[in-house]
Amino acid sequence: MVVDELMSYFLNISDSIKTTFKGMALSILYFFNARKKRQKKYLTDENYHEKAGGIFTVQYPKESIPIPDNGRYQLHNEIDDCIVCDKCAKICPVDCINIEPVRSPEVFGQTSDGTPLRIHAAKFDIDMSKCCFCGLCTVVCPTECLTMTKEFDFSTSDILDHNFSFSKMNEQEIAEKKKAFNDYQQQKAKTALPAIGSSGLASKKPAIKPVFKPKMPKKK
Amino acid sequence: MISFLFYLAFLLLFVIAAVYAERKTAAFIQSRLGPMEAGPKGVLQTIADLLKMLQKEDISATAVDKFPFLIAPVIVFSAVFAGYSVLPVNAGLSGSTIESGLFLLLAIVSLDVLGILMAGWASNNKYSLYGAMRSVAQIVSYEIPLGLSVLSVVIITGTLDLQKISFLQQGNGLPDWNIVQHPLLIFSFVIFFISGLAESNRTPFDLPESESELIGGYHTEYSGFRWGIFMLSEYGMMLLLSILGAILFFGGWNSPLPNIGGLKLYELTSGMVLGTFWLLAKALVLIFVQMWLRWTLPRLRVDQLMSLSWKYLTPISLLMLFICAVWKWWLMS
Amino acid sequence: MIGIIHIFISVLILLGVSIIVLSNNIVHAAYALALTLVGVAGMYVLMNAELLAVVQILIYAGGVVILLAFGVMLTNRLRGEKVVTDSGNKWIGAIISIVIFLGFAYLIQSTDFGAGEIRTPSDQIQQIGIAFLTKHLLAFELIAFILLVALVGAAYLAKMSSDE
Repeated sequence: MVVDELMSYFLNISDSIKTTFKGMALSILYFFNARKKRQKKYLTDENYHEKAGGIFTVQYPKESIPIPDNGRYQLHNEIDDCIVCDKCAKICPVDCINIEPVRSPEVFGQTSDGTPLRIHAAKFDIDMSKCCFCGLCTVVCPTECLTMTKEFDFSTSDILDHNFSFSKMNEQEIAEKKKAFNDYQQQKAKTALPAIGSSGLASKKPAIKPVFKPKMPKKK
Repeated sequence: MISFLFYLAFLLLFVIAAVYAERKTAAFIQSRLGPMEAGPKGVLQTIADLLKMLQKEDISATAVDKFPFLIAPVIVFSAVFAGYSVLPVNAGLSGSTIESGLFLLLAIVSLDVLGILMAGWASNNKYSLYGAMRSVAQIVSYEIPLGLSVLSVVIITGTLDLQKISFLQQGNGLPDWNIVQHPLLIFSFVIFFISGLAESNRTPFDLPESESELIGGYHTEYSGFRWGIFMLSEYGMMLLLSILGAILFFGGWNSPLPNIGGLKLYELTSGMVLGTFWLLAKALVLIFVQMWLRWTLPRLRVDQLMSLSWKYLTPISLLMLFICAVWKWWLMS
Repeated sequence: MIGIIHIFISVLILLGVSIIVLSNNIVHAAYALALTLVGVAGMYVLMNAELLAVVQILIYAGGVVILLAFGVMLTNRLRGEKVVTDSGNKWIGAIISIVIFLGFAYLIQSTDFGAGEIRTPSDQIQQIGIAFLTKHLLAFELIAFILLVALVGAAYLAKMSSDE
């Protein structure tokens, strides 16, 4: 009994000396490893999970870890390719895309993939402070003009600065285009309306209610 | 008097450098960079912090016991700094020449408990009081192994005067150091170092101020300059014990280089300025070991702290005292 | 110079003592006691009794007072009471202390301590040590024995309370 206690007493002493020395050896190893910097590695690298010696810190604004090209961060709209179809604004779960279309009387251009442009984008705003980075808008975009870029550092001191405006049109142009379309409408009304009015079909026969009800699974 | 002024100036410079060194050591051990922004490699960080600290408001809460609260940091610092009065700087510049120098140092340094108790009590805050209580229990317990391990050196050298202890280790560099001349003192030194850590409230014995449980312990309620004085006394205590360790065990201001044959390395590297350099360099190496330990070991529990002091360090240091006495008797005969 | 220091230390001691007597706060009184004891240690230094001064600081200011303050703080804070006392019997106390003071003053004045020849012994500690182990050996050993008994008793009491 007494011998056991005495044994454990000396065992405690030797244990504490041993463990202290082991710990100290480990920390001084790290101290000397701090001379070198840890190599930047990609997740795809073979030895990514190996214990890496050296300083781990990345001094961010001065240096940064490379971002893969398919990073999903800030949204970008190539407005010349945009047909202002409004699909992105409709699918957005957080309603962060705000579009104001101005129709044009005629086709005024072509996108790079050949789709004709019929609508001017008077406003194409994406509020990145609302964005949830789901990427749905880029999926539905028919001309692939809306993409996510690898730009991730767009912090600002004012939240309103997170609203990115992609439209290239100025006030004067918008007013011009609106006026042009209005003129066209009026012109059209003058020439075409009596023809529709004379047939009188539109007022007599109501259009068939479109049935878009999705198929519901029947209850058991 | 001159040595006192020298140490005052050195202490203030030392604290600025040591806080930076402490943060860098911590960072390197944890694979970080530490302060990098203020000045090249962040060397001006402490100065920036110091300037910020001096501008802070001197807050004292409504419920504090005003007078003790205000003078407590001053008492802690003066108790610690009074210990410097007997330290020699080099061969020509000794501290106060009183006969019981080492004894005075240990006695007066233990008075900082009074200031800590005062601070903890006057803050009128349960965490501060806990910190103060832990601190008192800790410092009073660890004074015993500290005193006993110092006594083993006193037995061997036969004097309490730190300057005489330094002169006794003069002559031939490293082989004349106490710890080399009398290898038994290695054990005493280990006990001295551990108790010294506890006396200066350093990790792994930083229970009185443990940030994670007591939010700073006895200096929770302090701000600005008064908090700075607490910090200064903590670093002052570290430096005091390191210098004391260097004098008692590692030759004081004597150069570590021995004379080899005709090459008088010891004589070449001795002198007033170099002597001061050697003393401070030895002390700073010990300071580094303290920092290294701080970022390696976790904090002890209160019961572990007490059992380490009373069940392990005190009996072993008593045994060492006895063995040193026998060793001295064997050397004399 | 010595005179000024002497007056300064005397004022310090008197200040400490009057705080002890007049303060209603026990903790403040304990701090004042520390101040007084350190002041007395200063007096010892002025009288060339270095070792006595150091022992005074170590044992009284560093040990006894801290234990005292510690005890006062713990007991009062735990019970949640205010640490305030009142002083009673002021007149009788004052008269008794004045009488004692006068008695001491008379005794000290009329006794010849052999003062006047101030010596500065260079090997004070050695002399005290030799005296302890030759002339006063019995007293020395008895003190050591009593301390040992106190230590064993304290350990026993601590063990008893932990067994319960």
